[in-house]
Amino acid sequence: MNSAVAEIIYGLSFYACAGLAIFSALWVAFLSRQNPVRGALWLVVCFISVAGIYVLLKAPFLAMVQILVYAGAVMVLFVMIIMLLDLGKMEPGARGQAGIRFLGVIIGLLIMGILGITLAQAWKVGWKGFGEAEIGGSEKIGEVLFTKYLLPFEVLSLLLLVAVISAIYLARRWEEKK
Amino acid sequence: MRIGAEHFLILSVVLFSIGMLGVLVNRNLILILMNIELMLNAGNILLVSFARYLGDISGQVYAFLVMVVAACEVAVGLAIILALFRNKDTVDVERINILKW
Repeated sequence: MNSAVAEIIYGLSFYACAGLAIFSALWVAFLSRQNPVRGALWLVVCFISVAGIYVLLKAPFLAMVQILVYAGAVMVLFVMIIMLLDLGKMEPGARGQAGIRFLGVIIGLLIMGILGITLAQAWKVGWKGFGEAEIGGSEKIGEVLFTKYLLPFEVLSLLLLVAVISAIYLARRWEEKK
Repeated sequence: MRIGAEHFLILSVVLFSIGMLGVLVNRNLILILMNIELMLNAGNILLVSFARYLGDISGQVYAFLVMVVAACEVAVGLAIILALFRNKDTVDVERINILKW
């Protein structure tokens, strides 16, 4: 296969993954207010398309972890909690809050504008395209993780332990003492 | 159709903005947590694309660490939401105002 065809295939798969990610993110953010389960399912679609983006960026290990941890574990947790909570429909909000929400949207658009300006500045840099260096691979990432980044790795394992204990403690059912 | 780092940058910024507006607009605590996950993913895309652009694997390691932190955050956050629902019978952020005077 010559390089022009490969480039076109790469571009098409990038636009497919990116479009799907943005479309499903819009569903999660704005269109699933009535039904959180719908938001959870669209979030799975978003995570899988982000995994596709990681594959395009030559990070197959991260793509695998993304599907295992995010699309698997985290989403199961979300769906379980939605099941446990037994939510009814959201009641309409109090009238006095409308102004604050409007303010929130304005501030959000302002931050979006700042991000856009930053992006426009970054556009002038003159990107030179991706190099050909092979960097992905679980072997390489494990090598770096267990030598240069050993301390953060161990601290993170402690963080996981703390998170497990605190989640169990918080979600406990508190019985009244007699 | 040459795809470079700038395309991944735009994707990351767009996803981050969508997640941020979702956090500001939604009132359901579970949906707010989902949108925070969206923002973390956007940050991860940025880290991985710069790892590829600079040919340095550190970005991927950071993305991996961010994923672990995100998983912890979801576990603790959902436990808090569960405890809150048991006490207040709602996950609407406008009705949870026990810290306000």
